[in-house]
Amino acid sequence: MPNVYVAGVGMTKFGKWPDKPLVELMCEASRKAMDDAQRYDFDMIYVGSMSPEDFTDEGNIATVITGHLGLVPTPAVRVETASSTGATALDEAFLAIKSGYYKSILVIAGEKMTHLPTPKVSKILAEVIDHNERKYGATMVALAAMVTRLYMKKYPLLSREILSMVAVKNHHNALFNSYAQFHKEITIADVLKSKMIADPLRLYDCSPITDGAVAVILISEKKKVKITGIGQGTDYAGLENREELISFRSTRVAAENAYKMAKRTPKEIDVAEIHDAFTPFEIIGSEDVGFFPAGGGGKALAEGITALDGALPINPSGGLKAKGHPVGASGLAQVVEIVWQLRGEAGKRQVPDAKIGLTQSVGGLANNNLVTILEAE
Amino acid sequence: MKIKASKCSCGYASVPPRDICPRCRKMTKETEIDNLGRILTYTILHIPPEGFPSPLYLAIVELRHRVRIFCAAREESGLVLGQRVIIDELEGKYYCSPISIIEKVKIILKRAIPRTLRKRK
Repeated sequence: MPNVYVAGVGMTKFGKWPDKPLVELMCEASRKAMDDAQRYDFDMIYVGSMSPEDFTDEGNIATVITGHLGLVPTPAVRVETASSTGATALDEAFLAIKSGYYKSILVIAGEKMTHLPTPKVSKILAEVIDHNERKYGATMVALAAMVTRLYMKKYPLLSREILSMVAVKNHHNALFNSYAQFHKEITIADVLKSKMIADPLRLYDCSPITDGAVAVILISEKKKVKITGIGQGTDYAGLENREELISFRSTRVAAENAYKMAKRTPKEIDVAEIHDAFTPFEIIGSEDVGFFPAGGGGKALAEGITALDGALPINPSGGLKAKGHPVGASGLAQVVEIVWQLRGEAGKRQVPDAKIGLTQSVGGLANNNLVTILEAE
Repeated sequence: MKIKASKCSCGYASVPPRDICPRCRKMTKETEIDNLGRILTYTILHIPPEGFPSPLYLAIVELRHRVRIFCAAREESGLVLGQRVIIDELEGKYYCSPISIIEKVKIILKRAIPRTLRKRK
């Protein structure tokens, strides 16, 4: 089977782009990736976007963007798995190259959200929630809050202060990322006095609403960064049918398969991007991918292990929390950060000697999750 | 009141009912479960979606046979982890409220009587 390498990456700055349509953001990211890879023709295009139909009234987006990039008649398809869409687009491209059928693929992911009022955005995001839960008015943050409360009961060591430290750490990391939505240091006190959204989660526990696009070019020809493992797993959309609520089986299955394919163990990972759509998700994610034992993620964070200068930096990019969360793009943006880290191009947020990196992306309320392992050759 | 559920031969029961068992994939049968349980987790949602009042009280209640049910509460009082609650249904939605003393007595009597009868045999 052919190996799969990353030939180029590109992304727009994450934030608010009121005057740029989604397709333009996606084209900008794609052109950056093409220049980075010095490749302008592809066998296939995968496009990831969660809800362009609802956010920007656009359909058939894979075809439209292929035309805008002047890449007609290259085949193109859109993929969607809620907030892990970008990771799934990469996953599909990886498999297509692995199969030997395609040799070079452009993967694009993007979302445009900030032009809509927040209640409207929340409503669109809530479409991914189980129907039964939605009829009660459940939102993503409400469900995350219920998971958090149960976690804090089982592991009382995870205090409200430690939870806040996820946001503090990721805002600090984003100071060194010019692509990030926020460049603002925050304190634990700022988190604790921010508006209560769904008890016990406050505004600063939640990732923001963001516009942005990302592109990655995968090829079978040898390059510096190789994708060595991927894994994906699902869980029941509704929380009531899950075996566990404070650990996500979909992540554990994805991680197990990714490690197996890469022939790696959690101890070998040098740097990771974990889906911190809500602060507790970084803690839970770091446990589910095997970095820390169940209930140990908060302690590791408090001890500085996951800080930029710690033994295992998590979310050097600023994470979804501070880099921004254009839902369909985030899973692919995590991969871009790890590629920069492995190439030694991450500037002031560079993790020294990063050779093996991992990304973990969460779809919906953790019911379609992916883990990807990348290595520097 | 009884709550409509599905039960599988493997022992797993689900609310709302599912045709296929989420644990072992066998076809399930319809069943009914007592409307008494404990609050497993909850939240008070201060920014609910359009069309819902603020704040919104949401809970997951664990019934007998470890069946979990997503429901709403009408007020904050009684929203405590482990709180014993009774479920009622209104317009297709389940609501939980703390068990009253009268309900508690009823439950104790109900459980005590069959036990005494068994002893007589």
